[in-house]
Amino acid sequence: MIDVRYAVVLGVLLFAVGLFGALRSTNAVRILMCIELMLNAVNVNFVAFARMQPEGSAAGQVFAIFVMAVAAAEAAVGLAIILQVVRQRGVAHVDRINLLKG
Amino acid sequence: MRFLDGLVLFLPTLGFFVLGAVILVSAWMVGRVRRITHAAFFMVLAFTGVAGVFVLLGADFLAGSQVLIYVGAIAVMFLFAIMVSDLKELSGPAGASGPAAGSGPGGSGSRAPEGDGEAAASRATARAWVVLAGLVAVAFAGIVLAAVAKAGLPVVSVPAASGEPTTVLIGRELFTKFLVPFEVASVVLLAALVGAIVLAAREDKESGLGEGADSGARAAGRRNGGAVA
Repeated sequence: MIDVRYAVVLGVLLFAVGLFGALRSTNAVRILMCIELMLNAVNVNFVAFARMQPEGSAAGQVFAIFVMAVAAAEAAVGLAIILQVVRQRGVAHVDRINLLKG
Repeated sequence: MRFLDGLVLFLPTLGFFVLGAVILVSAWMVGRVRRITHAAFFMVLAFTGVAGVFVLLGADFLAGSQVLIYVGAIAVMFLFAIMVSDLKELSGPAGASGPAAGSGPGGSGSRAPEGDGEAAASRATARAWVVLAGLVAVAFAGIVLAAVAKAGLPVVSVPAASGEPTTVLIGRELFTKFLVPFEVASVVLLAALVGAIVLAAREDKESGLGEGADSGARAAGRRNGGAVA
């Protein structure tokens, strides 16, 4: 038996760790990875809250599926942008990507 | 016999804590480890652990799609993106902070060293940023955990191995109540993937998307030029 509140706490901690990683790192790809981890933490919370609903409701799990779809889209577009920046300017360091002009 | 029953009851909780520790440590390592490829593999480990947590919470369909989408698609996409762009900075120590950040920001390894004072200053700035990020993360976790403790969430215990598949339930909800969001999500995915292809494709005016050996060489030359500029 698992107390579902443990899962909520795990989601909070995972989100905090992902937030810390996203804020501290300067590599664009690494920031994107940490954002994926944060989205995953949100999914953990959605599933935990879905368990707290009365039986027969799967709305939380459906929302987790939507989060997964958005995460996939975000990763694809973000990686494409980073690839293009790396190709054009040769840097993936977010402090050195400082020109609006390509 | 009673001991065995207790063990069976206790085992999922133990597994949950082990999985949680694995997830948190590997998520920490994603931001910490120096090589970006290793960070991607730690991300895979965290995703797999989250899939295990889904299994323990009785969300079998989500666990499967977690493995398929995150481990199978997103992580592989990250690895491809890292390996396609053979950039020293992408795979090297850039981004790691703390003591390793001294050589990371500013790329002082590739440029001429401007003196120890500037390097020390940039190192101090990087450390200040890390401290600030840690403060923000700890404040976030504290506030949300306090809110969770205060909210009085209902104590629900997931029966271990309830054995009831959630796929039917999810499918019914997805195609009745959430039909319009479902269709919107598919359009979003289509637009995002088309956009990603358009963004990531190399622009060669003569040959379009397909590129021969010479245009590839030209693109490489342009890339090197961009790196120098």
